[in-house]
Formats: sequence, structure tokens, C-alpha cells
Amino acid sequence: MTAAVEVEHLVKHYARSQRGLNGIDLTVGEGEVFALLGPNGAGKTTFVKCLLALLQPDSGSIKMFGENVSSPGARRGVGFVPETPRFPDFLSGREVLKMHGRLIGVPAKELDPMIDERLIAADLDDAPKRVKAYSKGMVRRLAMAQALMGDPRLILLDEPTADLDPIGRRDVRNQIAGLKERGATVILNSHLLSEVERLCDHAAIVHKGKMVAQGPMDELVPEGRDLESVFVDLIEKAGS
Amino acid sequence: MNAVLTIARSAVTEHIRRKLVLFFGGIALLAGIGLIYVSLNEDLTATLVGAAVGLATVLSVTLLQGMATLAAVAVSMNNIGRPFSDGEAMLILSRPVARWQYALGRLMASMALVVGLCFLLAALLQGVNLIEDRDLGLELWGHWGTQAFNLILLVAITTLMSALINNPVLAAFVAFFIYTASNAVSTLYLFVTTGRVGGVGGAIITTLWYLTPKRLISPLALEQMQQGGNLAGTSSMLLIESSGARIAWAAAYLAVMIGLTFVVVRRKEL
Repeated sequence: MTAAVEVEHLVKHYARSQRGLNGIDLTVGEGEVFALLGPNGAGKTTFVKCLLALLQPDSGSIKMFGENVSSPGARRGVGFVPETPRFPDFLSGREVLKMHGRLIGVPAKELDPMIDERLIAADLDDAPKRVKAYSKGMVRRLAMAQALMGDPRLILLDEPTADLDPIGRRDVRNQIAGLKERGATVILNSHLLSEVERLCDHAAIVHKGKMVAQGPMDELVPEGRDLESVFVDLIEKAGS
Repeated sequence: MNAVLTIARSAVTEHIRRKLVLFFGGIALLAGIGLIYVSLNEDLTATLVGAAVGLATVLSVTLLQGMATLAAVAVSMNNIGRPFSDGEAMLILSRPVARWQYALGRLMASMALVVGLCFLLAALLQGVNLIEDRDLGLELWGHWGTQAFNLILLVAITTLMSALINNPVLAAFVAFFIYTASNAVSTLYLFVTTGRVGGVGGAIITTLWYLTPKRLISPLALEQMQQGGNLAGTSSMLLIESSGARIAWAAAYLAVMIGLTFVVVRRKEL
């Protein structure tokens, strides 16, 4: 299987914080739905930001589909939903999607039908005109819609179900299942371990910037146990 | 280039919807109405500015120039710091967009708005000129062209400051200070070149002179200063023509400001 993401000995420290990453090695195969798990402050968001070159690593190498992430071209075909998405609040949802469509080079004639489709799928076709009038859940759904513009090969989801009601969470689950079906690679950060267990085929657990465990879900979670109990055991063991 | 234009378009929409363009455009319009009223009344014009100078000339080099300067700072003080600190830039930079493209797009939007405002003000004053039956013609347009360049320089300085300082008000203040300090530094530098100040003080002033921007002076402003026109905020020490070397210096300074912005934005973390 081709690697969608290859990370070798990734190190990132912050000047005024103990948090960061201490030598992460990770490979995510193309088409995998991969969960990145860890307690708060474990380094999950830092990891995702390093993948997108939003943060500069201190050392190590990161490649997406074989291309070094320091090149903007490596982010072609990548969608991202951050933990707290922020859009220019003076734009409408449609304008946000149009801007992202243009940035990823969607041809002009395909843009409007694609936006209509995304807005309907995100239940935002009747949304207020400006993003500043959106609820948290609507902003989250818009973030998901922009990430899916242009049918990306790799989607990075940082707590995608935060701020969503049960119906919104179900929709995100269905979208991830749809992505898996069409062969896209998904990297998911989430604290909702039951959802992760249901959706993901591989997982990695990080704690204090170090990799604690990784592998296929059925190897990480032995028969008769659930992901939550395995996670708690591993974190407690690593913390001691 | 597509990414740069997309970001620039979004930034222009931002300024339009945040009503900045409306605010400064509205002031220009109100000023226009007032100016037409004054220029139609010869006695009032003569009392206010002196018939020999003319309303369009005085306003070009004083009041409206000040307004355009404020507009330049207002449309660029949020170019980098705010979108980086509140995370708005994160989603855009998660796309195949280089940091320099993001910065250039934001810069281009501010520059386009400032050039548009200068054009509007020049057109307004040209109308006043016609009513006053004066003949500034190309000189007036040349003046506002020069102002447009100076304000582009101010936009570049403010954008660099907004990349260095997250607080937009502080960034605007520092940029404005650097821009306006260039006059004072030029005046002090004349003391160095004429040998009236030397030693450490001279070295400091010379260093400051090299570090501060070199604004261009239009033939119209120069002419007014040479005639001893009592134009507010001007100094006889500024009688330095926009020679080729000065223009080259100003352009190089602009290029350095833009280049430094790219470097700072490239290193900025989200």
C-alpha cells in the first residue's frame, strides 16, 4: 500500500511550554481511516499542524504522498478541519467555499455546482448570509464542507464532532464512512473513543509528545476489551 | 497568481464590508460637496486659502493627504497579525498556498484600495480646479500619483508591522511613526551633511536616515514649498527633489519592506 503520510522522527518543541512532539515516527497508508489519540496536551494538534506546515518542526521529515510538506504543492488534494475553525466573518458560506475552491484550482464552471452540493450536504443552503451569524455547529459544518471541496485524497479532522449535536455527529460519521468508501485517507483526532473504534481501521496513541502505541485497530484492542479501557491503561502506564 | 488574486479579492471584500471603504469614500464625497461649495464662492476661497494658491493645491498637500494617510494605515493594520492570531489564516494556508502568496494577496488588496482612493481624491480636486478655472492639470495628477506611491510604501510598512506585532493598533502606531519620522530624520540628516552635527550623534542620525523610508515629493508640493506657501506640516528642509536616486531608493525601500514581510510571515507559526 502507498503511504499517504510518512513521518520520521518528528520533533517540535515550544519555547514557553512543556508540550510538543518528541520523535514521532508514523506511516499512514493510502485509504486508511487513522485515529490519532491522546489526552489533552499530548501533541495531536501540533502533529496535524506540522503535517500542514502551519508549524515548523525542529527536526524530522514529513512527506504527504511522497512530497515534502514544506512545499505548498504537497497540500494539493488535502482537506483540513481544525479544532476551532475560523472563517472571515464578513463572507457568506458560499463565498468561503468559492474562495477555497479557487485556492485549490477547481475550474470556474465546476465551482457553483460543487458549492451547491456541499452547502446542501452540510445543511447550510438556507444559512444566514454572513458567517458571523452562524452558530458553532454551523461553522463546524461549513469547515467540513470546505475540507471536502475538490474531493481531497487526504482529510485531516481535528475533533470534527466538537460543538455538534447528535444529528451533526451522525452526519460527520456518515461523511467519514463515505470518504472511506471512496478510498480517501482520513486522519482523525478525537476524544470520542467509541466513534473512533467504530470508524477507524488504524490508530496511534500519543502521550506527552511520544508515541505510546500504534497499529491496526483489531491488534490494538484485544477481543473482549474496548478502545477506552486500552487507552486508559496505556496512558496510565506511560505516565507512571 | 490565482491564489494571490483570490486572497486579494477576499481582502478587498473584507474592507468593503467592514465599511472602511465606505467611511473614507464617504468622507471624500462630503469633502467634495464642501469643496465645490467653497470653490464656487471666490471670496470665501480667497479668505480661506488665498486666491494665489488655490483650494485644490492646498487641500492636495494638507488635509486630504492626511486623510489618505489614515486610510492607508486603516486598510493594512490587520493584514497579517489578526488573521494569524485568531486562526483565520490557518484554513487558507492549509491549502496549496505559499506564505508569500498569502502576504502578497493581502498587500495587493490594501495597495489597490489606497491607489483607488488617491485616484478618487485627484478626480475630486480636478473638478474643484475646473470650477476655480485654474490650470494644475497634469501637475495635480502627478502629485496624487506620487502620493499613491508614498501610501503604498506606508501600506508595506504597516503590513510588516502587523506581521511583527499582533496588536493592530500598536502595529498601526509604529508604522505611522516610522513613516512620519522620515521627515524629521531627513531634517536632522541635513545637519550631518552640512557638518553641524558629527561624532556619535551624527552616526546615529546617519543610521536612522538609512533606516527610515524616503518618501517622494511631487513637483506640485515642491513648487508650493519653494514659493514659501505656508502649507501646514511642511518644512523648507524637505526641499529635496524626487531625483532619480531618491526614486530608486524609495522603490528599493518598498521592495525591502515587502521582502521582510515575506520572511516574517514565512517564519510565523499558527
